[in-house]
Amino acid sequence: MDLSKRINTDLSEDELIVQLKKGNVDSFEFIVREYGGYLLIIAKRYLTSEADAQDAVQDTYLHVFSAIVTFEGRSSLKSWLHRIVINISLMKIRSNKRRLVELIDDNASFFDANGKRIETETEITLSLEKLMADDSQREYIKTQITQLPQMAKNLLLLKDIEGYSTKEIAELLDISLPSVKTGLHRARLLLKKKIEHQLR
Amino acid sequence: MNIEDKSSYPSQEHSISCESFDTFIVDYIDDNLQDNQKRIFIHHLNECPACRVYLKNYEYRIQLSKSIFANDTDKADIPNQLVDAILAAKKQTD
Repeated sequence: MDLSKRINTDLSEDELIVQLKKGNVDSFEFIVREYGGYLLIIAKRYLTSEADAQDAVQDTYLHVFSAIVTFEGRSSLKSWLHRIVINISLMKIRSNKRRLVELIDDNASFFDANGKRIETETEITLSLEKLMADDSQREYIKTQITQLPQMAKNLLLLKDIEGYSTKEIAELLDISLPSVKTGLHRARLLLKKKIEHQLR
Repeated sequence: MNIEDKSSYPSQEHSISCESFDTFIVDYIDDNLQDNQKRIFIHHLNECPACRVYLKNYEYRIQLSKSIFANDTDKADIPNQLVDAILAAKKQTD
């Protein structure tokens, strides 16, 4: 049995971290094989190109190799890696930051001169369970999310999928808190426009 | 606050438009509204059937987004060439 497999069966996470801090090569290889695929999927949510996503995973591990000595174990190793790969993915796309106002048509189009809602929606009656059981529906909606404009996608992923607070998102994206809230609302409305016909 | 509880409603002068209601939604869902803002928000919610449905559908889509990505990391494989590239890059930094 090779050493990375033995680490998997023999070591607890605490022991694995001790080995990583000691610079044990096999334990590094183990965390690459154990969590690399997971991190690649997370990176691909943010980065459209496979090559960029792979670069983000590689950069994540290079950061981890140098920063492991500072890891205090306040979260699991996997959660720590998860946060790092998101940070690195966001850094890679920061240069493409889109203006938030471009996310959706002016809000005014939804309301009359008195601020009253113009369109009355009908309640979505399709159950989430039924929708999630339909592979093609699920895939369609996932594609609509991943194809949102970059800033809208980042906001939606960070808030509604990853569960970061609006304050944390403001720090991660280096934008103001009001911009996060406005942008998030607009991103959700943009997604609504793209998928509402599927939910009837 | 229970939205059916009408005892703590603000007076009519504190009512808001659907457009203003919209600006409170993100904070309402995060439970970040101050008490007075929450009262005004819920007052509008009780008075406006269009915003009630709008909010219900809005929350449905948030839950949907969460569910769509809930299990997408289950089949997580890393290409061997990426493993090799990471380990080679590490060696260079040692």
